[in-house]
Amino acid sequence: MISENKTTWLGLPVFDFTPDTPVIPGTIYRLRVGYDTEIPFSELLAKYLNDDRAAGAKGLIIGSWSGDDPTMDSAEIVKLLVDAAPRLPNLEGIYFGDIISEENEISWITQSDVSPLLKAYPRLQHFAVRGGTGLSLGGGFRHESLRSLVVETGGLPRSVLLQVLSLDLPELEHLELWLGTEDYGWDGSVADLQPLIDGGLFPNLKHLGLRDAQAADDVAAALAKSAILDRIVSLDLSLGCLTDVGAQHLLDAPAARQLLNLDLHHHYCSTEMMEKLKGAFPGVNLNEQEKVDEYGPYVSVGE
Amino acid sequence: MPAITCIWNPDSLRASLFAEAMARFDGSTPAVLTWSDFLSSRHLPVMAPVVRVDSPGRNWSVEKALLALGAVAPDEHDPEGRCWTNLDAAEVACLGEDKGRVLGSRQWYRGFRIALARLQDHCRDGDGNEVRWIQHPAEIAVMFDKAACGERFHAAGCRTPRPLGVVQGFDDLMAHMEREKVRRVFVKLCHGSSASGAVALEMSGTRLQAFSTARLSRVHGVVQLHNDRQVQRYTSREDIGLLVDAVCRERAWAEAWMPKAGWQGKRFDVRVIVIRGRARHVVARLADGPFTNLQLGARRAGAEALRQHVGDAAFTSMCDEAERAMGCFPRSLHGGVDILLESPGHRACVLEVNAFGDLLPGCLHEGRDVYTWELEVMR
Repeated sequence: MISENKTTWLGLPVFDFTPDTPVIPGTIYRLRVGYDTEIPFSELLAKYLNDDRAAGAKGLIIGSWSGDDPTMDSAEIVKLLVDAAPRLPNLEGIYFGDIISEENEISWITQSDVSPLLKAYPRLQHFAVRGGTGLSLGGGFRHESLRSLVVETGGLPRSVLLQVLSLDLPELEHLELWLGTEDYGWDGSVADLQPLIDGGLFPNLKHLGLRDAQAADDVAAALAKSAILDRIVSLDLSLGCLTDVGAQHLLDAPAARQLLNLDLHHHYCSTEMMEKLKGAFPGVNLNEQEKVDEYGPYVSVGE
Repeated sequence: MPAITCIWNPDSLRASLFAEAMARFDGSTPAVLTWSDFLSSRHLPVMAPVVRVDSPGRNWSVEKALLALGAVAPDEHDPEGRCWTNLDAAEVACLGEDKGRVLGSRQWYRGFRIALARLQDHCRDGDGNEVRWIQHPAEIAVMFDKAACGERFHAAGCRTPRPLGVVQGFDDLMAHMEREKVRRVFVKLCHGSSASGAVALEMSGTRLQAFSTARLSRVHGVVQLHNDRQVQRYTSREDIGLLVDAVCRERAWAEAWMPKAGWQGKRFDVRVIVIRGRARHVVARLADGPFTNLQLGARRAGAEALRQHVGDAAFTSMCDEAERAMGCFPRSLHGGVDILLESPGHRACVLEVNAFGDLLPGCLHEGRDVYTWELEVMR
């Protein structure tokens, strides 16, 4: 469950843009059409761009775009942002879909092909997108500047996973994929991650997040034997269903010991296993030890 | 401090905490009239000059007596008795306690309203003047009716979620949602408290999902609802239809589900205790799901932490909104106002006023708990 909108991003404060208030430099604005917003997204964006100071924006956050109608997909928003590219020459980051559960469930966010954004903003360094339904990243193209890519879903479609892995991203340092559960769209397997795990992709990768995974144990097992562990310094398997089984694989992997950062929060490990992990990985994040209830283990962000 | 008669269920936490607060305050003890004695007897004790009416809830025999009282009363909104569950006196007499069962909420309310009117009638001094009420019975009756509260909030200019009004069942709800272009709604018992029988329903295209505090079951083909501490999730249209129909048989109120702000990784709303016109105790209730009631496992956060989180301006306007809502009840000393802070922006929005919303053990405002503040302002 995602319960909070961004309040900071890229080290800058985040505010909701309202048409009557002048743009403050050094701020990232969220454009959002709420359930009682009077004007459509296109008008909101136009008013934002009409403020001269918007041209200096380093980042832009797109919040809920469809008011109270979750069936409206993001294609029009993508197009509007593509058209706006010449007017946002300094943009380094786009967060596309800062939408919380109280606005729309993550698996109900209706996305579209967002790859035109990456192509329209060749200087973009940070791109994050939320919602796997209808999502496409195109795939098969090169982006020279992208340093971080985050795909947040309640269930990552296999097609999207393969598209991500087909991107040529020479500068990518931070990759975060929320795999989710089969109930909400995850139809891939750990085998699909193999090209990534083998270490042949993204030569600059330093941080890998395979988060919110029902299959966290399988992911951990695959990572433990992988070449990628030698290359990255930070691993994030948080929000998922990691148990003692997956944790043992991490303990048994010598390459894991050189990680500077290991985030496992929201997990199903035993207290005994947590002690072992703390011994092996000083500073490991083991917050949110979950208990299996009658419905079995569940990921942190579903729906 | 004048003497106080309290009408309540004597073995309740409310009773013991209020009595303790009185003892601490000035060493006095309340005169007590129990709900059960009041409902079974027409001969009432002499009342003190001040009367406190407290919750009749969590007591099966009292519950049953109120249902019985409601059985004989005609319903002004349903004179032919077609809309809502009606149990006749014999059926009520046969009812055994079935913990958490949602049954006869509207009928219970009719009984409760009669009881309050009778109480008001009896509580007069030798000259026929009414006693001083800590909360006036007529206003308690309104606070226990979400439809009537909605009208008052609207008249007072309170910001509230867009109301869809009283709905008769699932099909009616769908029609309302279509007409109002609202895809996320709360359906609540008009006369419920503690989120009893509450449903949070969302739709996207043809997909439908509902969360509810009520567990749906079929016993010998009859649909039953039981409140459950574990929030239930429903995804089949059939189950959601049965659920909403069952809730609507107890008179239900629907309103838009506005996005609540998040904090500490959870969603939250705020209980604001307004005493003599001023917002005082403030408790944020943080939950993992759409329901923020403390008995459903929501976590508390205090006033100062909340003020720091949302900022002075949002905190103050939240208190203003709570006071405006409580202004709809000028003859009541206190009320527990539930306020939603919208995400994003933390704009305040009134959800409901709870007549008996002042049970917040351990929650202090300027060093005093809720009950002590109530006594203090009557001094």
